[in-house]
Amino acid sequence: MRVLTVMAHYDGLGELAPHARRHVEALAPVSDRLIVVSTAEFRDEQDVRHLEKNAELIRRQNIGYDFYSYKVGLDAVSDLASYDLVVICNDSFVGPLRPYRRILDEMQQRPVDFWGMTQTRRRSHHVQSFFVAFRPWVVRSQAFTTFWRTMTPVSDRLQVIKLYEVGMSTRMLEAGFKAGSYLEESPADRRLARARMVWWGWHAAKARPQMPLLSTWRRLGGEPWNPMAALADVALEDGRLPLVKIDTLRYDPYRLGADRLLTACEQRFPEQFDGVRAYLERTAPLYPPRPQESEGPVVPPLPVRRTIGYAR
Amino acid sequence: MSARSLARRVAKAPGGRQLTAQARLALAAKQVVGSGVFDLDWYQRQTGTTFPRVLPAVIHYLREGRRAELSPCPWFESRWYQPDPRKRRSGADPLVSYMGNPRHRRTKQPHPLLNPGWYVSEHPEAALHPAGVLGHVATVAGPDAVLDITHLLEIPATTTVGAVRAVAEAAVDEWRAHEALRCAPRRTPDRDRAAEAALRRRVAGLEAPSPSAPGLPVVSVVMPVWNRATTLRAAVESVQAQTWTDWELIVVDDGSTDDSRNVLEGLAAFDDRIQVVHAERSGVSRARNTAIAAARGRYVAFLDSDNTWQPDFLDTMLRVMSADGLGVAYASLELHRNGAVSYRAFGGGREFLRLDNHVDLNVLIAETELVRKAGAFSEDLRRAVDYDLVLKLTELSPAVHVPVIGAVYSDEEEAADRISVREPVTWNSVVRTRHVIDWDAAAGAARVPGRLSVIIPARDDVKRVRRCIVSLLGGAHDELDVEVLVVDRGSARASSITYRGFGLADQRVRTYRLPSDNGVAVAVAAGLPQTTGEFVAVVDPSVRFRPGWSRPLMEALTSGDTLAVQPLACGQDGTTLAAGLTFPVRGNLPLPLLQGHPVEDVRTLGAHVEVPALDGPVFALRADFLLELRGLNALLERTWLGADLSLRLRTARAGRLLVATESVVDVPETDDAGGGERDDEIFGAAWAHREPEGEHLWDASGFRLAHTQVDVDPASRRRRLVPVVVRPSHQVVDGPAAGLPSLRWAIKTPAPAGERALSWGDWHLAQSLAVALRRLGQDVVVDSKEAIHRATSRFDDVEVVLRGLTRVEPDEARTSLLWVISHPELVDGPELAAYDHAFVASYSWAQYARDTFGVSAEPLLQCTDAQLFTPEAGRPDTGPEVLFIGNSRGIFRPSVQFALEAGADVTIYGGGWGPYVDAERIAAPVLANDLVPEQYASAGVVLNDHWDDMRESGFVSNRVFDVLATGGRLVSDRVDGMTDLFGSSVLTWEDPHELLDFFSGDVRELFPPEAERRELAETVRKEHSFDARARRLLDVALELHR
Repeated sequence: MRVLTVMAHYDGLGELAPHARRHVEALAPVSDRLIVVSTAEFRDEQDVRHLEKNAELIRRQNIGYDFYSYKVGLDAVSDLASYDLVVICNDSFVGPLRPYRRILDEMQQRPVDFWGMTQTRRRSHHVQSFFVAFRPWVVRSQAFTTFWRTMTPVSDRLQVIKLYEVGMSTRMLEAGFKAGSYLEESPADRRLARARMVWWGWHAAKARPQMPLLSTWRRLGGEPWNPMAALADVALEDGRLPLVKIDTLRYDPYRLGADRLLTACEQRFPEQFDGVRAYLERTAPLYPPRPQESEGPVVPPLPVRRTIGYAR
Repeated sequence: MSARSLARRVAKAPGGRQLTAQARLALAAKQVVGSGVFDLDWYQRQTGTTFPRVLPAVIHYLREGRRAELSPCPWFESRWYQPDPRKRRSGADPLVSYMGNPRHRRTKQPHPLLNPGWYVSEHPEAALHPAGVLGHVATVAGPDAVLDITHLLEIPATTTVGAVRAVAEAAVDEWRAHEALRCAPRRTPDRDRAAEAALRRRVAGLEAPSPSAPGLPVVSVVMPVWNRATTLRAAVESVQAQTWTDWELIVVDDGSTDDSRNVLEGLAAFDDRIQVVHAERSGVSRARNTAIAAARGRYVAFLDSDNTWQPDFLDTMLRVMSADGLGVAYASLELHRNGAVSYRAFGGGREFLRLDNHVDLNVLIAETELVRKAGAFSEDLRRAVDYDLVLKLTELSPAVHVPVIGAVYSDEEEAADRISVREPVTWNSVVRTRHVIDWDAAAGAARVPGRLSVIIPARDDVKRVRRCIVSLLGGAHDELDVEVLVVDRGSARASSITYRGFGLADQRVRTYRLPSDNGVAVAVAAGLPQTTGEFVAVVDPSVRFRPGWSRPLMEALTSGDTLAVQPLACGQDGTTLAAGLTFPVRGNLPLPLLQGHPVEDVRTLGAHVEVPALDGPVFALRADFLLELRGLNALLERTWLGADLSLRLRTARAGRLLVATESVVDVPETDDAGGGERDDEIFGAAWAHREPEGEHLWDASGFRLAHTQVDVDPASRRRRLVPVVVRPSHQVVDGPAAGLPSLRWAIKTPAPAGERALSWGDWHLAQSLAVALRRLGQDVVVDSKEAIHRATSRFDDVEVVLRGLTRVEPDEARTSLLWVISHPELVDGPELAAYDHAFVASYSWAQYARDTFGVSAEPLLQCTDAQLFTPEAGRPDTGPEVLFIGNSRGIFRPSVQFALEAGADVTIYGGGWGPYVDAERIAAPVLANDLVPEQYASAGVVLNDHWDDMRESGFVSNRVFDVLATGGRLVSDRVDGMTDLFGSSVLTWEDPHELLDFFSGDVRELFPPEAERRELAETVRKEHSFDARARRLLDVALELHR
């Protein structure tokens, strides 16, 4: 199986973070061609050399978020359709917590046309864009080529999510392709995720004082979840979710105790999480709190911690 | 308190309205039962139910039957009988209204085959019957009683009560059988759930079918795809979700331009049972046929890429088909539309299928070999291919319904790329025409040489069809072997009875009823095998044939290499409606030749005009040609049927398409059913990129087609090719007017358009004047009253208004001449002054106009046709002793009245004389104009009189000139100036006594001898001929035109 991988990299401090370094190292052996498109202004040439040793490095200005880096990387390949799998991913997570070879082999058997690590119904059904793999017939499709050909750089995070992350899946699904994900949510996963949404919904409703509390809670609590937050600790089950998002650790969006999660991960996957805590602290000033989302890691009350909190 | 006010009070009380309705019903029922006219057997025959007694049946009729237009007795058809509008509004039963109206009981037709006037004259006691003529026929007259049905087709005919009843009963039986076919439960709000449950129980115990050979799948699923990437997956997954897993799916990508191919690749990558065939775009039928050719299964099933199956569809069907040895079977279909659910779960056989398809391809399974034997899908069809396949399959094996839901179908939103949206629904009719008859057998059937079979596809328009047939048969020449087949396109029961009744009046007329209306082409196809003639004419019922239509048409039809012929069709205003089509510009819109032009323009092209295509409400051709082409193109609803046939004929064989311009039909009214823009599109697509053709016809008719433009009708948005025509000016080449300009003249007459004009003297005068002007090299057309302001007037140089009853405002754009030939009392000074020049057919009135209005008007008397009216036209004294030719005009005209009183033996040709003279005096109601001279020349004496005001105003009628031009002896009322003109050669009378005196002896002795009369005849023919009048008109027109 010939694999092409385009990885988007960004670092506000101009360094190659430990988890990003390990990610590149994990991708290199499974990729026939690995292209890293970085928007970081590297301070240490060692980092650049390390990247260039493992991959083809394309450096560009920091505009258009990760999607535009994907585009630049894909545009650099003239024979896209000759690959059996085209992967786009970024450096926004710690992982893989399972070898990529195992993941790719498992997914090779699944009757899907494009897949990611997770998929969600949030906003609209989509494969989450930090890792997406496309089969060759999708890569050859009009939907795929038109999507990338017509892409323009957008520098608003929510717009990028709407137009490109959700938009890409929508285009593929509307074209008739079937989406899949490595994480297959079990009924227990779904029950837990739903309970965590109810918990999050209460706080999110309170954060909207202009809205009626109970109905807002009911509405928000009933919304589809983001599995990278709602099921982040599934990673602890031997990497069934084979990565943990940096944002989940940094923002604890569902107020489930991200600190406990990080600690548990460090214990369970010491090698993969080495240096992550320090990286989070070092970069904290660059990532201000997100209004109406989260202020940062919290310690949930004991009953919550015991029932639905991370690493309970 | 009166009964009426009591009834009103009761109605206002609580529940009173219901009470009065009940009371009304009871009263009506009592009246109907008491009359004895209600025929229980007859009524039961229509309802198909049995009533224990008459009363419940009558109540059923009053409550429900009459709303469904059922008939209470074979002699009463509510659709035919028109009660008083007041009664109709009140909702009273028509039968009760009839019986309650003494005048209607005697005079109104309760049934199309019953003529109450004749019946009462034969059976005066019928007028006194409590239920009138109806009651007498129904209860007194026996089955052998004779009925006159001359009124039906205006052909003397009688029949019997029993024969009419037999026809009516046969019509009812046929109607009921057809209704059963038409109203079959093809779509129902529910399905037979008990049968479905029983089937499921049975299926559980049935063995699984085996494949035709080991290792092969039991069933091949055929799926064509064209640009259905978004729905394709669901369709394929529904196959993958089947509980029956031993299948192969052959998907043929019919050249998709979307991502269908990629989606298919993904699907096939994970399932070996899916086989994808990529093909060039060549249509759904070829795609399916490609899959059928590749199919390895014992059975073949069909699934469209935008449909899904229920999971147990294949399992249930295959087990049942195998167990029962079925070759073709289909499941039920669940339909969702606008929130409502319905089912297609009807098990009707081929007779139902021929009418309409109730089998959905997505739930049909057939043995693969059977499908191949049937020829699989017809690749020349662009829609209804499934219907066609089902009809082909059911020729080989019955299609059995298996009561299980095979698919759920939602047509909430019809996708724009769906064939049912993109392609016209008339493709279904194309399929019907293929299967409605056995074309090969029909082509092989013997036909009667020389016979013309006229097919009239008729709907619910009895009166129109009747008029059409009357004109057709009445206007045909005696030697013509003609038969008429009315193809009844599923009209109402009452209409069907009438159509059948035509056969009683004339055996040449037959009816063939279809259960439903599927368009003209299907009707013609169905009717073809019922005809026996060597030639076939397809006739729109809106047509009225003008007398003499048949001979020129048949001459054209039988001449040499003729492919097809049409008569010249005239519209409401008498101008050309259809005289063939031309294709003057590259493209696909045809241009009707000389449409809107007076017929004279078409006739300048000759008696037989060869055109690129025919276009009209009537066309005729050899029956074998039509059979060879498999009839008309059923894709077209109406508009270009003849044109399409023409072009197909020309493609199939060499020959000419002719317009027989001497054969004329009128289309006084057209219904706007069908055709229009959709037909334009279909015709345009079928015959696109034609080379220009037929432009020379415009030149040959004296015009030049400068260019064409496309007009869009603002209401219908229909595009139409419109000619921009000019008329080049030219000079007279030879004859008495050589060297003078050849002007275009329009003679405007007060005569109505169409056949009715023939009974107007003004029309004949105009025609004779036109002939005389043409002898002077002029280009002349004659306009009826309706065509006075026709659009093509712009080509005219001179208009001559023959002033009769109609006042015409002159057209300022051309030279205008007025010739007052009658009704001077209607003319005033301003009217005379409005024209460039005014003529008056009276010396004295011209003087009167000068004196009274101060307007100059030139005397120009009426005249005679010197070519027609000659002494040689007949031998004196060999014809009627005393002759009168003319209509009664609703009065007992004095010349006839007093001549009869004097004991003269008067022979009359003319209409409206019935109330005044014995029938044996009337030789004929109409005498053709060309036969009149012989009558005048050979009669002993010819009578004449004038309207009072004409006589007083000195207007000598043209009859005077006509009679004298033949050397005939004329007895006329006295008109000022007549003696000055003709001396003693005309016997004139002022007082009736004078007339009585003339006939007291041998009136002929009062006239000069023959030699003297001949001398006068020559003078009249020279000085008072149309040629003389034409010359004067030309001189004046040229003077003014300069």
